[in-house]
Amino acid sequence: MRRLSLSLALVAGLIGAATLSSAAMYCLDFGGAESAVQDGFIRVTPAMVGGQDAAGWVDGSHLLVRDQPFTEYEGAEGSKVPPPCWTCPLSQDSVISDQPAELVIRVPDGTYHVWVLCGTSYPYRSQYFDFDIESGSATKPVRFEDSYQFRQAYLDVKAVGGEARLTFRPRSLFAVAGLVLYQDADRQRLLGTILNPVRELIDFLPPAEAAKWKQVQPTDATPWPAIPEADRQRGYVIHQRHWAEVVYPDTVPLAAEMNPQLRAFACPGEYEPLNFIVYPFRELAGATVAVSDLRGPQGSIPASAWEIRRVRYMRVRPNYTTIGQFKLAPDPLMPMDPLQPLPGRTNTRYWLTVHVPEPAAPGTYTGTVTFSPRGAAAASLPVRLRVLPLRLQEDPEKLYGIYYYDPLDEWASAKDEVSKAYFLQKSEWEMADLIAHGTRNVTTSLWAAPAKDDEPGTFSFNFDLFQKKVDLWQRFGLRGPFVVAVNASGIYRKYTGQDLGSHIANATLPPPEYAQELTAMCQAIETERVRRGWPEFLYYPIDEPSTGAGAIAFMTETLKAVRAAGVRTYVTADPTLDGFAPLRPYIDVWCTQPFLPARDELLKDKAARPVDYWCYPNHINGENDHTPVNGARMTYGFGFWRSGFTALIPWIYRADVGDPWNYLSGRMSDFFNRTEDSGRPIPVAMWEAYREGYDDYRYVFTCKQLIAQSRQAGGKSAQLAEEAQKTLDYVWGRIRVQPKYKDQDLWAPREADVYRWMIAEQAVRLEELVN
Amino acid sequence: MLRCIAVTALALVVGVAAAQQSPPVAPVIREGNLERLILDDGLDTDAAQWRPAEARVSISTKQARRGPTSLQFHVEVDWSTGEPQYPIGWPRMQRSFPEPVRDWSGWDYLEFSIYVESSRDKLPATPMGVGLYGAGSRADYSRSLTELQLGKWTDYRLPLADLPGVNPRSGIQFHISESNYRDGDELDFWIDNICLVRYVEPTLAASRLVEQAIYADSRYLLVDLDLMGVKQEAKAEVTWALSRNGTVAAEGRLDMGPGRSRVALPLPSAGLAAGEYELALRCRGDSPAPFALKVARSPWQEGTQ
Repeated sequence: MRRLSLSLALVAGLIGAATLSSAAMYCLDFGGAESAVQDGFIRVTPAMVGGQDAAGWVDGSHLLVRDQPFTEYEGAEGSKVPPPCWTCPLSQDSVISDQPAELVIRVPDGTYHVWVLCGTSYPYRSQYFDFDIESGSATKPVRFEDSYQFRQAYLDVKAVGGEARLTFRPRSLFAVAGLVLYQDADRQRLLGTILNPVRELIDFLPPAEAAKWKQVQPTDATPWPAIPEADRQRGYVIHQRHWAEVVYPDTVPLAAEMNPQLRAFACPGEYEPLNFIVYPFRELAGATVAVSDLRGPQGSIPASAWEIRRVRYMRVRPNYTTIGQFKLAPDPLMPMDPLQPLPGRTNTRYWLTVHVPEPAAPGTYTGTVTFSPRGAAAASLPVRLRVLPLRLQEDPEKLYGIYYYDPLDEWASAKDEVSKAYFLQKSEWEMADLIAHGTRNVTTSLWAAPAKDDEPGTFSFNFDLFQKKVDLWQRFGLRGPFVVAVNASGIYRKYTGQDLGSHIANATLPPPEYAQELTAMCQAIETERVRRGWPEFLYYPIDEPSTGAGAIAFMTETLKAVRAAGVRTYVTADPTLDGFAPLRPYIDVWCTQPFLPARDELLKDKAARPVDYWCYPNHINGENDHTPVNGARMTYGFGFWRSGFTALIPWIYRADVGDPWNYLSGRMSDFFNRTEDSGRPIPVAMWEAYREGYDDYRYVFTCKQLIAQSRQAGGKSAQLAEEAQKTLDYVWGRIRVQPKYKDQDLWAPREADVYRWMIAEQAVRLEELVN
Repeated sequence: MLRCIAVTALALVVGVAAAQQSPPVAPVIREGNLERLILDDGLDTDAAQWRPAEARVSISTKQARRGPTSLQFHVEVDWSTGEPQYPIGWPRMQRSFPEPVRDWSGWDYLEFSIYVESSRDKLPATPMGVGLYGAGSRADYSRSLTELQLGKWTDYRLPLADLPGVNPRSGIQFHISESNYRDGDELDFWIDNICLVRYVEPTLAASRLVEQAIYADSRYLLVDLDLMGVKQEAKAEVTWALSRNGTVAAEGRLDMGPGRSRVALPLPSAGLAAGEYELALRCRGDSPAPFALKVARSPWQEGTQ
């Protein structure tokens, strides 16, 4: 284990140098009498009294001090993992309370700016921090979820009679680590010596550690094309690349990609992404982006049908547990902030999603999107949207699911009503987001401790919480069967005294009592499921077993025991590995990462016996790579169609480990969708690609349905149906079949659009005849 | 966890494998428009360079792709032996390259050929893997050899431009993962003709159409040109022609430097007629066969459905 005291001292030193030399900055570090104090800051404990001490509380009796430093890697050398966040003496300790608290700071009269560092590194789960910082009539709301992440708040305060007063007024809890009062003359020094080092620590790493991490950044050596004089005068270039292409900060456009027209086709009710990229020659102070109403032959599509976001680059690891390397990669699609600058000589990508109104009449709609930077001339791009006379249909035989951490679990364990309301709302927003992206299924669990010795067969499940989940799923239109994890490992531990280990590496043949109790547990769940009329469950006792002899023996008994409850089993394993052959008779649903076995073999197996094949394509979810956007689309659309698999269910909708906005902290990388402080979901590009793949397949399925209808109708319809079938066959034949569609040998994104269009065009012709 | 174990296995030392005296470096051979540097030709002197683990390596005349012999990598899958921690292990063979052939910067491709026989009637999805080493003890490039088939030679040509830009290259490893096989399976891989290859004349070697289908009103056609056989700083002329039923619809010429570049070929502003096209690319040396291109009606053109 290696200490980082040097690097943290460097942070402390930078901060201290500023504060000690600046009489007009008043730096307070909240904590206890024993907790660390940032160099140059004044310790402010709950016991310090406002009006008497240099700074103190009117009533500190309700304040709780939470002190949790994270200054070292965890684990032994060779297997060390970063902490959930990195701290310095300023951020490691905070005061927390559910009661309002007024802070009094003795300073000369005048107006001051206040910078407040909010948050705590102390572990809080199922907690929504929601509070106001009040200064006179000014109020600054601060909201964030759980621990390990920090927010910076700014407001002004007026000191009168030698005192400045701030009140922290919680709706749930407040958590503040420290603050600085400063005046305009000290702003730059504050930025350079306090704010920026703290920001680097929070968003990146301690300085000495940052120096050791290597940025492995793909670079674009393409020479820049000639820049039109008008663009040069304007101070920026606008270019475009297909949304499924990854655009890095330095990606160089082709001349043909500059000053583009944005165009798309879509059906009523469909979401469709467009994008453009701005490359300023020097920093722009911020910008707005606005889409006009689009005018069509029979009406318009309002500007409100568009959602506009800005792509944020994140420091990402090359693999989810790798440390020491990172690159900047485009990832979350952030809500617009018109005050956020656009760095010079760096691509900033704007992501526009239109949700075509259901009543939109068919036809071509035109309008403009206008980019208006602060301090530079605006630019407009033409937009052209073709709305098709088609309703996309979903294939009832296919299922789009996803692994899921349900906010309702946090709702259940939250301790205050504000937090409960937050998690409930978050759950609703996420469910709406899942549905809007074509997802109709999530994984879940029904956990209970093994039965007590004196109460065999009795388990304590929270079925009412589960009912709440089922109610929500049904209200939003999710459908089963649902994968339900059960506590097989707990029962194993009860009877053997051993843990199963990673991928059940330590498993051995369990005693018969293990199987009996596991059967009883599954029966208890199944009885309640039937009683409440819930959809079918797939029982999921173990995740990703290995092929070791002990693991296979254990899994065989486990699956037999689950089956004995009269239910179907679900196993995450590769059916093409011979090592899993002994499990074959006991697995009802294989869930495997690649599309393997190949289609013919899979269909043959499904025809021969009641077995199903699901796929969890984690290679396009971000745990290994945040950038295979095009592969995600192919996996979800044409690849899925070609595979013969029934369901897609990747890991995971949202993976937060420690600070969710620092992918380099925590034992593994954060990945996939992010969350606004309000609880609203923030999509990543790959999540949007899932939806486009889902739509690709809806075009295919809709066309197939219309072919079937047209064949039945006979006559000209039947003739056109054969043409449409030829188009489907053509596209089918163009698919370069792969077990994993990730980033190699894929259709170019624009080519995939053409195939979608060829199918759509056929569907439209049939639709006009048969309906 | 399995992934971690696999990485650990692949990290096994190659760099210090120069226990045997290096054989003399083969001369560069000219074959038409190609130059070839043999790294390992499956000779006796080559076999001595390999360090097998949980497997045997020998010289064989039973199969050979180049010359009379090849390397035979024999594996008997045994789930109970191998390294104590990982009885289901990674049989492998690895060697280091002599210093004079570690600089691959002047070469275009790595080639090798593999023939497989087995007691099985079918190979698993991932029958074998290859790893390349730079300065470190971990492979900085690895690839599954999923193309292998029983009873057939499979020829590999890996463009060095697609590999991580690591130079010099210190060694190579072939391996299998026993978890992909049944306990008791027997496998024989014949490996031959491990060599570096480069073009002599300007040649569009691995060029491709980025998009094999476009809209009729597309403003440009993207191609990836892989121009080999051109010295640094030099240029070569590449001509192109897009034709339909023998009639040229668009054409042009480019002055290209060496290496891979993406080029947007300009298309007629009036658009193309929908249909099947061919794109021909030409330069002084070998040129690729014409590429087929589908041109579809555009959703935004008048008269489309």
